[in-house]
Amino acid sequence: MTEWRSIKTIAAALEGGNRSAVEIISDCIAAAERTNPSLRSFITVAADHALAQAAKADTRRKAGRVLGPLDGIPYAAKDMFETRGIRTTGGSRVLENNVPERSAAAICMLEAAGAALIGKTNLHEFAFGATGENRWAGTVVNPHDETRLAGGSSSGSAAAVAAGIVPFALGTDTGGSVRIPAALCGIAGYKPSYGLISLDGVIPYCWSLDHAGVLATSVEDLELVVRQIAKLPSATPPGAAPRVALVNGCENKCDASVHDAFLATKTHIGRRGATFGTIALPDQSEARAVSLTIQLAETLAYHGPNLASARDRFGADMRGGIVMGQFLSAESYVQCKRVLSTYRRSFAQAMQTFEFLLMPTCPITAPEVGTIDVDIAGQTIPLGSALTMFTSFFNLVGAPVIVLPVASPSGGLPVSVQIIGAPGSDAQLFGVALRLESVCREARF
Amino acid sequence: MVKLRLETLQAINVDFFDNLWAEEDLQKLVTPRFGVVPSFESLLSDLRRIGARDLGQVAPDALAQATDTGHD
Repeated sequence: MTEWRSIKTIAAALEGGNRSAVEIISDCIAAAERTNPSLRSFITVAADHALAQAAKADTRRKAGRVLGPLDGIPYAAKDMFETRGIRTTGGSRVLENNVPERSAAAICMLEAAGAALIGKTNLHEFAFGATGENRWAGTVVNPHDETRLAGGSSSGSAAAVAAGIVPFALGTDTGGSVRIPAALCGIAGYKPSYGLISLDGVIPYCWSLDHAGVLATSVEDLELVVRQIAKLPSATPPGAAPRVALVNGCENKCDASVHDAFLATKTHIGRRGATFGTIALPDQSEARAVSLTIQLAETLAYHGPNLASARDRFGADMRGGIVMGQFLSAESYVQCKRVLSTYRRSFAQAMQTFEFLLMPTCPITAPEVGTIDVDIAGQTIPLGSALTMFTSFFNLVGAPVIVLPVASPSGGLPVSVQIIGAPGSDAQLFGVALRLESVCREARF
Repeated sequence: MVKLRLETLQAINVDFFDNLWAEEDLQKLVTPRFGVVPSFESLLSDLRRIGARDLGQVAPDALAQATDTGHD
């Protein structure tokens, strides 16, 4: 990672007059186009749009009318965010010629802050999947090792940030879709409390569980962006001796490198004064069934009407999901929504005596392209189930989560932890994450 | 354990969904595993257990209530 890829360093170059926004954004566009044949991180590179935005930013700067810390900063957005005049496909052939007449609320807010959208990033079709595989748009590969997956569904957003093409990107997260690719690509990611970042103008996947989110190279950059697109109060400085929740034995469901990195991080945090307690989460297979049932029913409701006219343009995963939603009962959907209410209540209560919950983000590092099953702790698990093992529950309870890369014992592929707060505690969680980020980076083996 | 049969799904497809779904779509539901879903059959088994839970008067969309309760 080179230093110029953070928002802070790009902003410093702009402020110092060392480089113009047009120069910086031209470099980003060139990097996107150069890397796309292999990484497949972008579906659309919006060069003309981005350069026009950059020219406006340069004009403002010369006139002394800088809009704020994101003025002239390049970024990318998952192709689920509608963008006025720029093709928005949802990663699907169904919408391959869709050019919206309006932009999503988050895009409008970033435009008002002067940020320049350089393109729309690739994803698992309509965000339905955790691997980032996409037969129509191409499968996004991991910038750390191009034989491996970037993770999904916000695969292109994570790869674009990790490859240094843009300093930040927007994503969406329904069962881990910001956090999984952030973890596998070794960057920071944020899923807010449910509803904190507007989903207005974002193609729906599952209204009950969808969250808009941000991916960046650091927590500091995440917070800078989130302050432009959500009402986030000032962060409360964390206590000197935070009380940290753990889920008993979750590290034992991870492969060796994640297991070792998680325990080393926990030990390092403990040495800095944290104390630990445990909480219990609901039975994993039940929570997964609740999540899937709500997702499948809602995605059927949204995409079902397009089936008659576009049946053959949906990919295999989407068609499989939609047909499955058709054969679920209304009673099952309602009962799962009721269970979801109980999860939210019990999780909020469990977190009352803790500042945050610490867990691995994914139980594995980036899998090879084409992986179907993975072996973890003596069990063979479908890849999608493994990737979402520690993430999907926090969509059910609407909790804020920040994922942080941590030092890997082997020094190989990225490993990540997630810190989870009680719903509504986003500002406090940023305070904790800012402090933990430096602790995690210092952890060595 | 729920036992899914292709013939049952085909009949439902004709009687209730106006033959909306293609044979290959229905076939996926009786396949042990596909895409992000481990098995439709195991999902239905899980849903039977979930459906049998007595949740009292908990409402299906109690986000605000749950959040408020947590911050009391």
